[in-house]
Amino acid sequence: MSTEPLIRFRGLRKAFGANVVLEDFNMDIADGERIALIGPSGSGKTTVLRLLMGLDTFDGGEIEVGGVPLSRPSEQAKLARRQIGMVFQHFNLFPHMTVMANVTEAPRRVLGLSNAEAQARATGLLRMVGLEAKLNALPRQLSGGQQQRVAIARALAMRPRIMLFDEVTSALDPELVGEVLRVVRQLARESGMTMLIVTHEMSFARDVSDRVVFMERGRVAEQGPPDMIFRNPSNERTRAFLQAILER
Amino acid sequence: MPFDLAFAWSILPDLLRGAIVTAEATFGGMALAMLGGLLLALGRRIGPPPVAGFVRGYISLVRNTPLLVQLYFIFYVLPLAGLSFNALGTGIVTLGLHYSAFLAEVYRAGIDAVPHGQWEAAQALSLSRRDTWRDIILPQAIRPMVPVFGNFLIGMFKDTPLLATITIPEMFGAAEQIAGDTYRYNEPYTLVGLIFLLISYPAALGVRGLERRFGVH
Repeated sequence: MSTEPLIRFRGLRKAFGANVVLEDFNMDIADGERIALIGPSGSGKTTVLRLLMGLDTFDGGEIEVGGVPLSRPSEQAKLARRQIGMVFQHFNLFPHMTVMANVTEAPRRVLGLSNAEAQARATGLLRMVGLEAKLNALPRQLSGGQQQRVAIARALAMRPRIMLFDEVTSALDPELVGEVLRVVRQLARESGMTMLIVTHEMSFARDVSDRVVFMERGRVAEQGPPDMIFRNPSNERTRAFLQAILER
Repeated sequence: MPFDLAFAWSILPDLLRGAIVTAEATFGGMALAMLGGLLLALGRRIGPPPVAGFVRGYISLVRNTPLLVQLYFIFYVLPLAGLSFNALGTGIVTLGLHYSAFLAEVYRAGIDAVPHGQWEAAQALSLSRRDTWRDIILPQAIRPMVPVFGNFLIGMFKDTPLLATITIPEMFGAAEQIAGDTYRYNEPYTLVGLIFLLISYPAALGVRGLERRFGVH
C-alpha cells in the first residue's frame, strides 16, 4: 500500500435544498482498502458514494481520486471516474438488453473492446457470479438476487480499481441476500480492489471490511477496525445504533 | 338516391390509384414526423437555450394553427419566397411538420418515463451521452410509444383528404374529380368513405393489439 491515499474526501458539503446531507465530511481511503459505511438512514452514506461516482454534484470541499480533483468536470476527472464501478440498491439493469448485452455494453462502447473480447470478458465474469447459464436471459426473467449479480458483473467488466456498493441487498427478499453477499465477500477476499460498501447487514460489514466507518448527520462519527467498532464502540451514538440494529 | 353498382365498379380503379397517393402521403408524412418529432424532443431537452426556445415556439405555433392553413401557407405563400416543392412533396412535408409537433410531445413523455436509475447506471459505466441516448434511453422510451405512433398514423391517414385542396390527386381528390366530371356524387364519396373505413378500422384493431404487446409492463 502506498502512503498516498487513493481517495480523499476533504471538507465535503452537500445539501438538497435546506436539507444538509454532508457537512465537513473527511475521509482518506488507501489503495486496496475495504470500507464499510454504516449509520442511520439519512446520515449521508449513500450520498458519499453518489458524489464520488458523480451522480450528484457537491456544494463545497473536494474529492480526489489518485490525486485528481473531481469538483470540476475535466478530462482527467472523467478518466478517474472511469476507474470507479458502482452497484445500486435497485440493480438498474438495462431491461431491454440481455444479460450478455448488459455486461458487454460499456466495455465495447467506452473501452473499445471488440464484440468477441467483450463477450469473453463477460462470460468469465458471469461464470464467477454463477450466471453463465443466463447469458441470453432478459433481466425480468431473473430473480432479484440474480439481477444484482449481473449488475456486479456489469460493473466489474470495466475493470474498475474502485467498487462502490450502495445497499446492494436492501431491495432483495431475505432468502436472496446470501447469494449476493457471497459474491461481494469473494471479491473482497480475492480482487484487491478498493471497496466502499454501504450496508445495513452488520455481520457482513464486519467480515468484509478492513475499516468500519460510522456516519451520523453527514459526518464521520467514529471509525476503526471492525472488531473495535462492533465489540467496543467508543461513541455513544454508535453504541445506540448497533444496539438498535442488533435487537431487530 | 340510387346507387349504381356498375358505375361504382367502373370508378373503383381511379379511386384506388388515388389511394396509392394517399398511402404515399401518409407513410411519407409519418416518417418525416417521426424523425422531426425526435429532433424536436431532443432539441428541447438537450439543445442550447436558443434551440430549446425555438422548438417551444415552433411546437406552439404548429399545434395552435389548422393543418389546412399550414398547407395553404406552404403551397401558396412559401413559393413567393422562392421555396417550392411539387404538390405531393408539399403535402408530405406539411403533414410531417404538422405531426412532428405532436409526436415531439409523445417522445418527451416516453423519454420522461424512463426511470432515473437508467441514466445513473449508464453514467456509472462511463457511457457517453450519445451512447446513453442511443443504446439505453431511446430504445426504452420508444417501445411504449409504438401504439401511440399507430394512432397518429391513422389520424394522419384521415387528414389526407385535405391534400386534395392543393391539387394532390389522392383518393378524395380522385373522387372529387369524378364527381365534377360526371355530376354523380353518391358513388364516389360513398366509396371513399368505405375505403377509409375498411383501412382505418382494422388498423385501429391492430393498434389495440400493439397496446397489449408494447404497453408498459
